[in-house]
Amino acid sequence: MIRRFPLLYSSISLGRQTLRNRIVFAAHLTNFASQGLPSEQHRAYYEERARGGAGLIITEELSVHPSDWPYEKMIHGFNDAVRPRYRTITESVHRHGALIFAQINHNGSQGSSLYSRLPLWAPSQIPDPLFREMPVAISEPTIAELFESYATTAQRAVDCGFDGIELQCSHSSIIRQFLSPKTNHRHDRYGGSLTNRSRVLLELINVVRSAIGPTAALGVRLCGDEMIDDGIEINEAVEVARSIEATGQVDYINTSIGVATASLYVIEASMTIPPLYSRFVPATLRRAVDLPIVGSGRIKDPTQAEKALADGDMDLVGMVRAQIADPNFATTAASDHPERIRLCLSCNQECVGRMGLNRWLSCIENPLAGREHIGHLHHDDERLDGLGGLGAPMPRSLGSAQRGRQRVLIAGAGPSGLQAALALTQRGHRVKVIEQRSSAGGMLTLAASLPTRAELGDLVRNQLQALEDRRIEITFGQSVDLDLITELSPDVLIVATGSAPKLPYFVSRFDTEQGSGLMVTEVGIVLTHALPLKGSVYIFDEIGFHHATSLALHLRSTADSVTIITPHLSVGQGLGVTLDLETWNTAANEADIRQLPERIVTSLDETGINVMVHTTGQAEHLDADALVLVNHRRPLDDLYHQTQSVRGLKRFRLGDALAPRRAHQCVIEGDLLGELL
Amino acid sequence: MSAAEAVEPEAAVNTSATSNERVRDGQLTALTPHQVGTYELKNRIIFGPHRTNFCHDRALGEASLAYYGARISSDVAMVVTEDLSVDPSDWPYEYAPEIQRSLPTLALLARLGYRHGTAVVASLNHSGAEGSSAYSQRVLLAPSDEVDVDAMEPPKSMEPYEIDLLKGAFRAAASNAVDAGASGIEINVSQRSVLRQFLSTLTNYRVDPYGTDRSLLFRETIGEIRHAVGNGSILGVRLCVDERASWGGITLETAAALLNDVGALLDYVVVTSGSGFTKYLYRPDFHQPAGFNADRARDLHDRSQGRSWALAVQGSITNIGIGEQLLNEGFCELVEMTRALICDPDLIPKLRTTQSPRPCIRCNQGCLPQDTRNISVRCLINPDSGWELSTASDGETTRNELGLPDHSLRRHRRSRRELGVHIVGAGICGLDLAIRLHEQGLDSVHLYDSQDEPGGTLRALAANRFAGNFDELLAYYLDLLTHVDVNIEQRFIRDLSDCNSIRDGDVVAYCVGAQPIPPEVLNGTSNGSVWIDTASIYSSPGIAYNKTVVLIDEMGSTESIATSEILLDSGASLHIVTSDPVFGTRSASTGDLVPSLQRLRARDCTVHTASRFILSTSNQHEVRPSGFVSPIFGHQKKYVTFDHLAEVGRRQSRPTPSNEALLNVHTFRLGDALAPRSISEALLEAERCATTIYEMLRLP
Repeated sequence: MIRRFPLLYSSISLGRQTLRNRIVFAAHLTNFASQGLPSEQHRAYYEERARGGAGLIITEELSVHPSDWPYEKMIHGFNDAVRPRYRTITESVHRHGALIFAQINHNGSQGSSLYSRLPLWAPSQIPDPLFREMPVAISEPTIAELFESYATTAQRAVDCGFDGIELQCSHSSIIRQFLSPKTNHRHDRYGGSLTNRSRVLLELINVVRSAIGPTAALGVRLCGDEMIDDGIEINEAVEVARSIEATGQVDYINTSIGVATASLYVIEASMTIPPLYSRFVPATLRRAVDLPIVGSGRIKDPTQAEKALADGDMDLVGMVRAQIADPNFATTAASDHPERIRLCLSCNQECVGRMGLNRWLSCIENPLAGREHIGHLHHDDERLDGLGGLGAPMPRSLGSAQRGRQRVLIAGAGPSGLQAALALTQRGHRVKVIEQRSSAGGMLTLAASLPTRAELGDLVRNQLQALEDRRIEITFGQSVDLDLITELSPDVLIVATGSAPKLPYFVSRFDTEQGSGLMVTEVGIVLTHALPLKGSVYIFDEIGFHHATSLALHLRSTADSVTIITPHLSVGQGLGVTLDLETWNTAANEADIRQLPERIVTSLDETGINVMVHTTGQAEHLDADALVLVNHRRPLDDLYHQTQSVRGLKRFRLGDALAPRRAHQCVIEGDLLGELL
Repeated sequence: MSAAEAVEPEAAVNTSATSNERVRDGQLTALTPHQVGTYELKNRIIFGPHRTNFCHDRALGEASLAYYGARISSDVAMVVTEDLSVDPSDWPYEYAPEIQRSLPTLALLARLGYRHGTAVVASLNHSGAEGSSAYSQRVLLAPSDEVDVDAMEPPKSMEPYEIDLLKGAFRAAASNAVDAGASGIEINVSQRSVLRQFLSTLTNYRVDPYGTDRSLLFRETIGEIRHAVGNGSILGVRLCVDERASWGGITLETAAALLNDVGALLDYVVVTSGSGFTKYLYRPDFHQPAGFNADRARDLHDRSQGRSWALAVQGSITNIGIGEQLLNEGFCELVEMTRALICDPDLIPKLRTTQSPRPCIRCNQGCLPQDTRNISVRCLINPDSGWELSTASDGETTRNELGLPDHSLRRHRRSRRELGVHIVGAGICGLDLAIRLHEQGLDSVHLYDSQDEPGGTLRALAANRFAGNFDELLAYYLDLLTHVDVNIEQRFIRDLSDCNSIRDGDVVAYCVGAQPIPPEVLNGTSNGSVWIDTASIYSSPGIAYNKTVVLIDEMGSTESIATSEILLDSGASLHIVTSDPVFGTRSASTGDLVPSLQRLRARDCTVHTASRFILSTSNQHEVRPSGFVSPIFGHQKKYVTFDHLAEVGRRQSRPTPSNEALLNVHTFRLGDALAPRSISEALLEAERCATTIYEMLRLP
């Protein structure tokens, strides 16, 4: 019994299956499938969370029918070739004492024919708002074929060791489309009243239970509120939940909110949306039925999870991103040091963000997420000094022959320097970190100071916690130069000194003070010096990510007006994949922030900014008091070049000092150094 | 004008030479052989390098073999593979092949090429700053830290040892490719190329010798590659001669100077245009004229007197008439006709017959897979192109209308004489099916259409020149029809008994298409009279003359753009209302997104993005209908009065004829009659239906 979180670690039975705790690694897309089959990547990924203590793992959806192929790396649950792959996954998970259920699904109109070259199936001929492909309104014989395919897919999964089946009837699902008045306009017995619309689900439950037998668990994932016009709302969800319970064949109900193709930003909410935001859904359903209820929604703190259970809002807690970031979440939370959990940032950058781009799932701060099966290196002969090298080529005599403990000096305690420190310490090297500023985190810590971005700072917090656990100290307020290197005489120098602002052709220097006339500065400078910009402020955004949008929200408190201009076709185009566009536009509107796309800055004068609308060629003059550039920076790698002639010193650059990019690259390169040194 | 070069139509080629030009072998210059280095190409036609997304595991594979094989075996002189990365550090898209892993299939391709007398050339590349770190998770490499506008990721400025490694990688790749049997190498110095980035003032700001002399890396690399492969292999360069950025970049002058230096080492040069800022102008859609690079190629020829290398002209050469015209002018020796050969791999054999090739209409809707969905290369109007491998394996299946194997259909065998096939609807789907059945030797095919002219929706599409060259596609089908012995009976089939001598066991294919339905915003209102549907707009655009039209768009497709343009062209004042953040986003893969916005901005058109349209309900007493454009994220509604309201993409399948006579027939709904989609599905389903009927007739 874990004293601190007694409910979270209490066992629970779902039908005839018993879980060791309430922590669920719920179903989520991974893009790990290869040719429609689950892969070694899947196996290692799930095993790591089972080893890390999760009570229940629910796999990503397994498709029940070839007409369902909405995204390239779908698992084809209808293909018998999955069997051996399933077995290795279930065996791996069971080995560590966790249970594993298979979520099965057909996405219906929330799909595409681009891969399958088969028409889409749906209750009615209504195109999905995201996929926009017209489906076929399926007939009753086809519904029967659908049921049959669910049955065989479920049976196959249970045969191969899955302890239960979850029917996906929310998010993206043909069953949801039958349930929802928005997508079901049928006039037969499967359309119209709620009873009719639920008929497909209830018949399906019978079919699947018959196929899997009484021992395996059977759950239904239901949407509590689609958050769209004319969609499912909580009162109907309650009715459906009651009729599910009444079948007597279902062991639990998992819950959700939103529609994957219309309101995804509420399903996988980023840090802009408060934790436990969708709590009302499981809470309401739990009070309506006796079946165990799973709740989720940006729950990543064991204290929050425990409270949600204690308040009676749910019986099990889905914590997906928390366990992507830290596969050992469950065991660490149960230990004496829950502060050692590598907290998820809810940034959505490398998990959700990669899903939208058809890439395998990873994590901004856990670069081994998605690489559990292979580690960092792609090829056996990977060299740090190959093309795309982090370091200068080594003379043969100082190459890989040199093993054993190295004395490593790391210049810079931003995310890349801290990650390198961790990775190298873990391998037994002696590490010293020196930071010029008075605190760690570099640009990332500055970014986290902006509205809605605070949780980004947890990346650095997590790194510092890990370093503290290993008793690695950082020296602040000191610069690394040739003299220091001579004095310390390390074996390895890691230049993690970050980036500096870059002057575009139309600016001769950046200002750090606002005087009369147009002040021209850059986002890093504004944050470093905490500049309170006043008057009419313009932000010229060439990056299209959170830099400009969160800066705009911040500057609104001091400026009279804030406008973002960008050459892109819309402001914040990079916010789409992290599901931040809707919340940004809502906030921008409320804060009266203007957004002017399709514009490039051509020149500046005392009164303001000259821009050109590049789609029309039209020139505009914008009166402004201040212009803040959000543009690509330049690497600060002077130290790397200055130390070229130091004999016997292995030198590397990483993170922004190599090329100013994003945080995940800093973390990856820090880890890579650990594997290669 | 605009920052990137304004997209002005160029008087490049007289395109009155149509795809129907049929000349017997011997009269076409394009079909005469030509010496390229030590290799004699059997004609002048090249299948150029392009992304296929076949190369899983970063290797040319079976699908590549089948795909290129179809062109090799149909007499193309030279087939150039997709760009092969010379080093694993270059991983620009998920299925980007790299040279080492591709050698086995390259060897097979080379053998196949040898058998058919086709040169198989390996294209070699490194994408530099135009690559991606998403798969390799390694930093991008480039001459300087200039960021590519699509990759949006600062690269590392290459160190001298990395430049040496890069040259070594090109050298080794070239050696290995020819050792595997390739006839030669094509070096990519055009779109998405680090070598181009080194050449260009837009991207190379180095201060070392590779910056002070931007041509240095190119010259050294070519020299080393030629040395590595010797004189027995073809060495070509795909060279961007015009980056179409008014403020800098490679120009014809710099390109000509470059070729003066290394020309003696080269066997051919493919002339391309478009840079990092203008990627969409590299293989543009129909908005750019056919043969748009001809002037550039002519200019380069003029500056390259006494050249020993062959000049290959590239750029929307989509029918042989254009290619022939350019060849006959004398400034070029070879023509690259990639998209024409994607659309019809049998282009060249057909030139020797009376058959017209299927016409590439430069819609770019299947052949330019650019985004991360990894869609494999295909053709909107040819259901087999890009599917050569799967067609070979599962071509003989009986399928039901949902495309699923249906073995029960095999049991219903009838003899050719007995089986009647009734095709209801002579749109492109019905026409295609009828033609296929004729080719399969079926006698009793009945084709019905309710209109006095066949073509259905395609005819409406063909009437809107802003939609593309669909008139050529219609002409192609009508031409095919004249070769087959199928009558179209003008008749509306209300009930199956209206079909000619229909009997038990016959097959009925419903190709009745789709009908327009009113915009959702009009549901439950009595304002139906303001509604105009897109088919009517296409056929009779004059209805919008001097009118204010509200066009609701939740599709963001090429149809959205074409509908807007024909309305504007007919004198309408247009309000486009879309909930998307940008209008027309789904057209991005065709390359027309930015140009379309440029065109719209110049017209009497207000685009309301991130907005919805709400009809006023209280306007019974007003003369004109009105409504509000309501922003999704704001509160300020805009009041709009209008004359007509339309919505893009509102269609539903037409009802199928009833079967009151209760005949025991096999029915299939195909194309839009099954679900309103695109030409692609209509043609695929017609093909599958034809195959199914064929299988139903096969003797045991």
